[in-house]
Amino acid sequence: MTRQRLWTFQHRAAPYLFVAPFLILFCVFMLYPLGRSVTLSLYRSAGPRAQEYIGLGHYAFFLSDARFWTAVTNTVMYTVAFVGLQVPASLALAVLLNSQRVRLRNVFRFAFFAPHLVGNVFVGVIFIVLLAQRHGLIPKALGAIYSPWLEINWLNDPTWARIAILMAALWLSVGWGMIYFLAALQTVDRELYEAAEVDGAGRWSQFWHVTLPGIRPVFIFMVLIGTIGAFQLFELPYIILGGPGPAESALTIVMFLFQQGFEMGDIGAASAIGWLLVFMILVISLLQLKLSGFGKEEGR
Amino acid sequence: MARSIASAVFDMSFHLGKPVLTMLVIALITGAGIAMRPGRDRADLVVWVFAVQHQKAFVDPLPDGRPSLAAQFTAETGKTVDVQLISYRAQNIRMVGAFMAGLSGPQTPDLVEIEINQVGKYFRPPVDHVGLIPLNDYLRRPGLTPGRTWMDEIIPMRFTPWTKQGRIFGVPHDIHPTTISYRHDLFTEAGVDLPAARTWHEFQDACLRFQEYWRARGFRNRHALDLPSADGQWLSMFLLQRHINPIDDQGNVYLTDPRVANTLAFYAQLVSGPRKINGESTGGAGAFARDLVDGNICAYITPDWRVQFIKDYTPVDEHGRKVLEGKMRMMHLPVFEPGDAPTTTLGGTMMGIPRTCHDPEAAWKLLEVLYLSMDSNVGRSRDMMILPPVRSMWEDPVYHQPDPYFGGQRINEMFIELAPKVPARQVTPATHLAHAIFSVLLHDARRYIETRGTDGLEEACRRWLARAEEDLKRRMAHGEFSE
Repeated sequence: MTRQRLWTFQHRAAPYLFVAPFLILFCVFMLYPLGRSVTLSLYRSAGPRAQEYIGLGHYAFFLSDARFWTAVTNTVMYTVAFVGLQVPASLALAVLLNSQRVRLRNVFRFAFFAPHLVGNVFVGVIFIVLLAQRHGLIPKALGAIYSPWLEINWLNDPTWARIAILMAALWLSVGWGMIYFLAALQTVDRELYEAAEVDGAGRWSQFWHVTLPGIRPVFIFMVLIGTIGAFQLFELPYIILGGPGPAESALTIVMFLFQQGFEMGDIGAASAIGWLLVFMILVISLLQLKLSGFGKEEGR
Repeated sequence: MARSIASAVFDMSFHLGKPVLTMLVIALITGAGIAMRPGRDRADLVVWVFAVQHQKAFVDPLPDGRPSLAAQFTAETGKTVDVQLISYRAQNIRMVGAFMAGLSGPQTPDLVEIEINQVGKYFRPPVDHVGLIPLNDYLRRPGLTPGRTWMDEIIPMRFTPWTKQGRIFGVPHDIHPTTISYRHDLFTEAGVDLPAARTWHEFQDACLRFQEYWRARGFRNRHALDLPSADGQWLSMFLLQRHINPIDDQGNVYLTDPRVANTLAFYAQLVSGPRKINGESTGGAGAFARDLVDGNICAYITPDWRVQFIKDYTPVDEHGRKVLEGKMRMMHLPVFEPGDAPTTTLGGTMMGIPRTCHDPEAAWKLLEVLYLSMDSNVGRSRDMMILPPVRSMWEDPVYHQPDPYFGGQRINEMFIELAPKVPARQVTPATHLAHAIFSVLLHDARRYIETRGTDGLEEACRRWLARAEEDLKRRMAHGEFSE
């Protein structure tokens, strides 16, 4: 009898025990911090002993704060430029390196993917050296073409600083995107190309009418992930420019969040910005999915 | 035998595949290794510093062979000391995190160095909740000179950055009086007597003559002065020379002071337009030293900490001498108008005792050894050549030697002369916001000059500053605690 009850208990409890490690970790490291950040965002805070309840005060303040909107504008500008360049560049590289005619394809694939392996901080440091005024490789190369370009102030001029960040981000991520597109390209049915060729379609027409529809889910995924990643831009400007950059040209939303949390010491305000960011990313992602018609095919 | 074991391992089946098995084995081995690794014993007192020179000054043996400052303290008290070097950014994030989470114990130090641009945020809570211990009582203890307390011995204005509502939360490490160093050989060749410039406008004229001379000889990239084109902190340094802190310790904002608009407009003309005299070096100290050697940048604003810093990065010639030895000279800062200070200050560090420190009395004793003892001067002068804020230490002969790098000038005597005249710098939680505003306005002013010239520039600066002040006050009100 006892054995039977034990067996019944074990039978009932086993599934819960199996999922328990995940659930415990999820609750401790995800659910609780998320919940805590919601409550924190309702407080003005400077440590556990210095907290004042202000309700939705942070949200109201930031939504009417010019500096917050500067951060939003910078982030949106960067996102548009980043996604607009990264996705086509990754796709172009993938198409190129998917061709049988390119020799040493695997070497090139690895070479283009390699920057992604070293991470943001390393890439940031490399770009500081590459762009150092008068001494960096890039100013020297440009200066050899036209001597005033040696003096371009890549890191202290707002426009050039933005370009520098974009260059570093692209260098880091184009190869990564390429790998996804390569995988997608290899799933496109070869027979479709043959059929298109029989129908007299040229290279461009094949790309437009066969390749792109064939890799559409990955394309949408790349745009979505690129957008979410770009909205979270922080490390590169923090390393390369040491903060929000000249004239706050690289003040992104996450940089603003960091400043509120760790330079102003108000973790409540930082939490509120975090939730505003979550809301923005959610709206943009849903909008992108809606505009791209993602999921319609599956629904049919 | 080994072959058969290897064969057994490679031939056996694992239903998730060999890669997963390999990962599991590696995880088990490394996990066991980490679990069995003996933990590092915490010293009796842990000190966090963010500068390698500071750490060297505290833990390296003294040049005369005596033990290091930390070892001296241990020998005297029996308490062990661990001076941990933590990068500037990481240290601040960890300290803020520790204060905000109310951490104590091994996660927090017993003594911590904080940089002047970072200290404001630590003063955001009501004064009783600041994460550091007020040191006023400790500073009333006897100092180096008989009959005098530390409070009497330390230059009083250097307490202001580390003070909130009369409570001093840190002992200053330095004063950082500021001068200008310049390439004497190049200025002389151009026939420009730079130290003769008494005002900033005269200085700018002299630098323009210098640049014209060299540009006529094909040196198009030879710039007179190293100056960032859009760094609010540097504008603040100029304002301090005019005795203006953007925000004072009472929370008053001074952006609409007419001298702020005047200084902003002047600074913008130093870095843009037809009267531009600046160059920038963005690749760190090494690149800057290279620019100085190559004559791309020929003068730089020099707080005392920058002297040794630049020297260290200057290359040496075949005789082992610094290539700039004898070619450099130092001069006082010019002024904007009579009444301005002959100097200003840039940078600064304090050491404080976190409230979580388990033995504040021992921490204070260690602080005295590391910062305020005569022996602390030895490491300080060897590794950094930074003038201490304790007056009686200035008598040390090390501060009165001629410096061959500067053609035999006794540059430390110049710093000693200027030290008591450094204006009081006040740092509040919102000061960095003021610097951010300056950075944006400097950019706006530069654009104004590039598109419309200098007519009406100062008036435009006044308008921008009035708007910025309103915005800054709004921000301060939002972040302020009721004391």
